[in-house]
Order: sequence, then structure tokens, then C-alpha cells
Amino acid sequence: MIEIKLAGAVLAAVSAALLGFTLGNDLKQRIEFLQNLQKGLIVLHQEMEYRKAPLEEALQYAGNSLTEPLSSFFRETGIRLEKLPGAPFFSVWEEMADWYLSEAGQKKEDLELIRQLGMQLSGLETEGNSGLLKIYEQRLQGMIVSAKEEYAGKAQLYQRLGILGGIFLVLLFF
Amino acid sequence: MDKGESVLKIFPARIRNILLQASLKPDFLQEIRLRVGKPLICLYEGKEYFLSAGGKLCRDGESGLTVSREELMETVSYVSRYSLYAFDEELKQGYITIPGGHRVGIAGKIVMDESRIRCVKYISFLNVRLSHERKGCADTVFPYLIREGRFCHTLIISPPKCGKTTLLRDIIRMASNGGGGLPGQNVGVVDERSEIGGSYRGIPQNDLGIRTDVLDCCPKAEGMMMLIRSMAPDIVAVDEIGDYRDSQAIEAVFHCGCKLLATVHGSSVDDIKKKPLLQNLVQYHCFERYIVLDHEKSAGHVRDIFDERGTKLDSR
Repeated sequence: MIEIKLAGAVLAAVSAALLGFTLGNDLKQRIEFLQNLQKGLIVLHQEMEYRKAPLEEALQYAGNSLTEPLSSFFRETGIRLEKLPGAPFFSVWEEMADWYLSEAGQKKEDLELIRQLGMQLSGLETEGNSGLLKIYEQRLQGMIVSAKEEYAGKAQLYQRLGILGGIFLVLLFF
Repeated sequence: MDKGESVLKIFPARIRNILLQASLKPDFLQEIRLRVGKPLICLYEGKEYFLSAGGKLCRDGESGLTVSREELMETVSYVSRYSLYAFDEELKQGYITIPGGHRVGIAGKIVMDESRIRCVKYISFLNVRLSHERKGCADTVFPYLIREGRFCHTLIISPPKCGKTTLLRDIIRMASNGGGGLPGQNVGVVDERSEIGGSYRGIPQNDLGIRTDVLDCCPKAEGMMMLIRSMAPDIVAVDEIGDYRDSQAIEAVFHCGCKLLATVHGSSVDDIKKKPLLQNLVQYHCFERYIVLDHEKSAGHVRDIFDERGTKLDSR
């Protein structure tokens, strides 16, 4: 009986601790996602501005330098845009974002940024794309800074709460 | 992909379905014109037709399919691969080349930068011109262009819309592949307006032969110099010479041992002698063959072939 209680208590303690670490890790992964997205935008910007690469090529090229899920999102969007008969850019962008990013557990705020970026990219002006991407890069930089502050503030808290919660459960069982 | 198919895929769904219903033969379809708020017009078998919502060709504009701004802009986005910014140079020329070698002429509001065209805004008019290559149209002409197993400096003289580019294209193909006593030639083509090769992403969509190199969207004078410096062509082919900037490059081609194959606007050799650039070239017998076209019987009809001294070699 005592052994079972002990095992249960240890399991509960470990789970609580892991939960704390997981929550902290989610914050870290968000920072990595935003940094990856920023990298993708920079590569996209370079391809569009200096090589004058069409969007479909630029997206595929950018996708090759990123990690999942953004890698597949960029790459498959580019591949889909190449096919004719075509579909309006924004509808392809949204469909691919739903497929590759919504399921990956990204924050609504981050998905909304990507959605808005797609709306802007679907404009056909010959000028303004360069300035537009710079604005999004700056916005992303701001979001990364906020995310890092949030991580610095909350990650340790979640981890400690998780450990304390685990200790509490052990005491509770005993 | 069939050339007709590649054209239809650039249109939005409604227009594409109606064009498919009309079952137009791509070989006879020359142009499709879109204008915002106006009926769609096709130039088919040399005649102008409107297209009804049911997919029937008609002569009455009232029952023609009207093109909306959204449909026109959707077409532009497919033509430009969602990337109008990538086609700045093409837009300054007024057209974009699409797969299949077809050209989409674009018109709208022009934005100037001092005296130069900067870009086109508010695009409201499109003219999709289908590319047609006629393989074999130079079969009867080609033997006259060979002397003692070598290609002759050749000038094709033609009024507008008489098929000179089509003939030039086929001569390039035949010279490149070889035949009729001529071994295959390295042909360098300066395709300033993408009309000869109809290149898409640098690859000619028309058959120019197996030994042909193409400088696409390159000014003729610079292109000819680049080719003779780096590609070692046996023949340099250009369309529509006559600009004073071409004269030095043409002289360089003659002096470096390459053969020149060119076209020029005109109706006869005497007409060409009046042009300042070509006067000297004709007078000093630089060109060894002159092919004169007209549209008396049909577009691309070869009226006469002359040698450098003006002796008629063939008349039709």
C-alpha cells in the first residue's frame, strides 16, 4: 500500500514538474518560431528585392532555409502558386497556413500576423513590397523581444511552480 | 503542354470555361483582348469576334461577355506569377511573355520618371497575342541561302505583319539543325522583344534548333557584340535592324567572320537603299541574299529572292 502511494506521489510530482517545464518550453518554442519566421521574411525580401525572383520561387527558396513547420508552409505555398490554372494568392496562402501552421499550436496573434502578411503580399504594386516586408520584419523583431521577456519572466516561474506543485502533491499523498 | 492549353490557364475560371466552351482552334486564334467593363474580343482566323456568355463566337458586341476589373486583375496576377515587381523591365516594354512564348500586352496608367517610363499602374487593358511557329515555312527558301556549302549573309525585307519573324525563326531552326548541304551551324540569336524564341525563364518556347543560343530581352547592338565575343556563333540572327545603334555591331559581325541573318521593315531592295544604315551595306554588297516578302497572296508570301548584285534568283 505504501509503495503504491509512493509510486503515485512520485508520478504526480514528476508530472507536475514536467508540466511546468513544458509550459516554459512552449514559450521558448514560440521564440524560435518567430525567429524562424523573421529569417524567412529576410530571405524572401532579399530574393524579391535583389534577384527580382517571382513570389513562388522566392517562397520555395526561403522555405529551404527554414525549419518546420514554416519550411513546409513556405515551400508548399510556392509550389502551389506555380500551378496553373491558378487561384487567388490570398486563398492559397490562407489554405496553406491552415494546413501547416494552425495544427502546429501557434498563438493566434502569430497566425494573424502571417495572415495579414499574405493579404499584403497579394497586392500587385510594383513598388512598396520592399517597404512592406521591412515593416513586418520590424514588427516581428518587436514580437521576438516581447516573447523573450515573457520567457525570461515566466519560464522559471512555471518550472518552479511545477516542482513545488509536485512536492505539494507528494506531501498531500503522505 | 499544348500551346492552346497554356494560354487558357492564365484566365480566371469564368473566362476560361467560356473559352473552353467555344472550342477555338489555337492555330487560328491570334489574339484575345480584355478591357475592363468592355466585351472580350477574339481575333480568330483574321476576323474579330465577341464571345457570348454561352461560349459562342458572335459579331454583336451587345451579347459579348463583359470583363470585370477583378477578372482582369486576376489574369494579370496569373500572367505575372503574383509578382508584378519582378517584371519591371518587361512592363516598361509593355508586355510580359508567358509559357508557350505568347505575349501579353499591358496598358494602363504610365508612371514616368523624368523622361523614362517607370512602371504601369491601374492596368485596365490586356492583349494576349498567341505565338505561332510554322515549321517548314522556310523549306523552299532555304536552299537559296546556301552557297558552296556555306550560309550567306541574308536580309529579309518585309512590310509589317507579313510573317518575317516567322520565316526568320524557321531559317534559324533549319540552319541550326543543318540540312540541304549545310552542316549544323551555331546560331546566336539576339531576341530583343522575345518574339523569335518566345523565351520563358530563359528557355525558348519555339523550336530554334539544337545549336542555337538566345540572348533574350537584350538590345540588339549589345547582344551582337556579346555573342561574337563569347558564344562563337557561325550565324548571328537579329530581327528588325535599322537603328543607328546597330551599325557598329553589324560591322563587327561582318568583320569577325560570322554570317548575319537579319530582317528589316521595307517593301523592296530599292526601299532599303533609302535607309541611311542599310544604304552602305547594300551598296557594298555586304548582304549576299535578299528575301522580299509581301501579303499579296497570303501572309509570309515570298515575292522575290535576290543575290548581292540584285540578280533575281527566284520569283513567285
